[in-house]
Amino acid sequence: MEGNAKVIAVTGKGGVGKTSLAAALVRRLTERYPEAKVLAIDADPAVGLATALDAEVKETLDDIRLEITDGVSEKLKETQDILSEAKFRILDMMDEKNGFAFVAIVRPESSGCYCAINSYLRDVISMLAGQFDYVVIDGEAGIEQVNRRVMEQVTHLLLVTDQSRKGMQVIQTIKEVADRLVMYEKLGVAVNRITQTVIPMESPFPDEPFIQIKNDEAQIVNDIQGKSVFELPEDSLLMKGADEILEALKL
Amino acid sequence: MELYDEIIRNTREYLSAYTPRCYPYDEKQCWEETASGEMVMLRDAAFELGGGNCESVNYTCVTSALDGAGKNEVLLYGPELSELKGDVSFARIVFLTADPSVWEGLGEEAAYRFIRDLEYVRYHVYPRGYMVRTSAKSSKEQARVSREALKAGISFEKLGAVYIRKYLQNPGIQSVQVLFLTGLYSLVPFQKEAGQAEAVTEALNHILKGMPMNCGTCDLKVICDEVEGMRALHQKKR
Repeated sequence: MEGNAKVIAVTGKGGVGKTSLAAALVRRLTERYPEAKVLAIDADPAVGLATALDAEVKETLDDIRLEITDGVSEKLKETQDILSEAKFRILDMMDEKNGFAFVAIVRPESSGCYCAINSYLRDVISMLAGQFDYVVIDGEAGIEQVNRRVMEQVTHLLLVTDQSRKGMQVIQTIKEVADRLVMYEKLGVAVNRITQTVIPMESPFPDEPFIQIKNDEAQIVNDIQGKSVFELPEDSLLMKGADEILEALKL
Repeated sequence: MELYDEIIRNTREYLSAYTPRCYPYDEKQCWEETASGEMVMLRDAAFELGGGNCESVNYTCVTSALDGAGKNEVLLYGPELSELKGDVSFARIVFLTADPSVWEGLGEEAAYRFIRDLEYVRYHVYPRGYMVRTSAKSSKEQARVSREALKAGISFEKLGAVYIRKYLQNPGIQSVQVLFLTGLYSLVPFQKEAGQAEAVTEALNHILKGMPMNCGTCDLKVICDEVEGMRALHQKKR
């Protein structure tokens, strides 16, 4: 990663509200720093971040990968041309609105492929991301992407869980993997969608920021109506949670 | 070698109906560069050269003996950046005069590498507030110009100077002409020449790969027949 981009990777078990939280972070960053360049990367095959941000998925990285692969046998014979072509096409697929840019990676290693083209695409995304001030990555559920080093270059790792034991176990496993494979500067834990307060919660990592976000009815209604996070009330629990996360991670 | 001379002649012929603004090269005029490029978001952009539905094209030609070569200058056909109001068609064409003692003595492999290295200069120029993206596949070059850069006085004269400075870092290059074309109704003739320039360069690559040596079966015979100097290189190879 080039430059001084702050790269926030949001990861955790499926169904804990990672995407909504990532979208809320994007909204807050654009509001707090209107001059900043903010990039939202949807790295989840479900492409939920696009909906949450009302961004348009013009093409997927897989479309570009196939196109460039075809080109390699024709005009694109040298690495510099391939990298430049990848940058050209990724900028084509980038959507911009509400003060942020959006790109859907979906799944860089299509069909489990680790070929050179994917490596080039990853390099270009990394290079482009380095030209932004803030990058928010909505990761695929689980540890798969951390394992594949898609998120190797994060500066802030946000582990999201719900109150379940399983969710807590998943973030502990992700942290173990991340500690070995991912270079991150700061880590935070967000417990999302809290519905019961009888049993006290404890952070699995007492030295790290621990943010608790109550279940947000406004967000549920927003989701049902297919509205973007930008339409959530300013004082909704999710937006307040995003504020707490940014404060805790000193962003 | 006269590999690209026909392309240069054709390009000049297409442009003969226009009177360009001419900016002699002055290194002091070079626009500021960033270390590795800069993202110019749409919200910060004044306009995009070759953006939207506008056409764009880019190609580079090397020569050693063409009339008019020998001066370092920027030629602007069309409005200056400060005069543009929105996205327009855009072309950046470069004519490089190589030192004959270098250029004429190159074998095919060295000639190919020499030309490719010069073409790749386009990937290593990062003017501040001017986000360039280039497609080798389609010979396109688009550039997003930031409002801030426009306010600070970016111009084709200053951008062209950056390119000229970069090309002149190659000791085999004697002089550089950078042509900017903005807002032309059609770039089709130039796109054709860009395709031809790429075909010429690629034919050199084809030669060095030692692919078909029998002209009767070679796909690139048509290029060799059209381009002066290509056949001579083939003969050298044999």
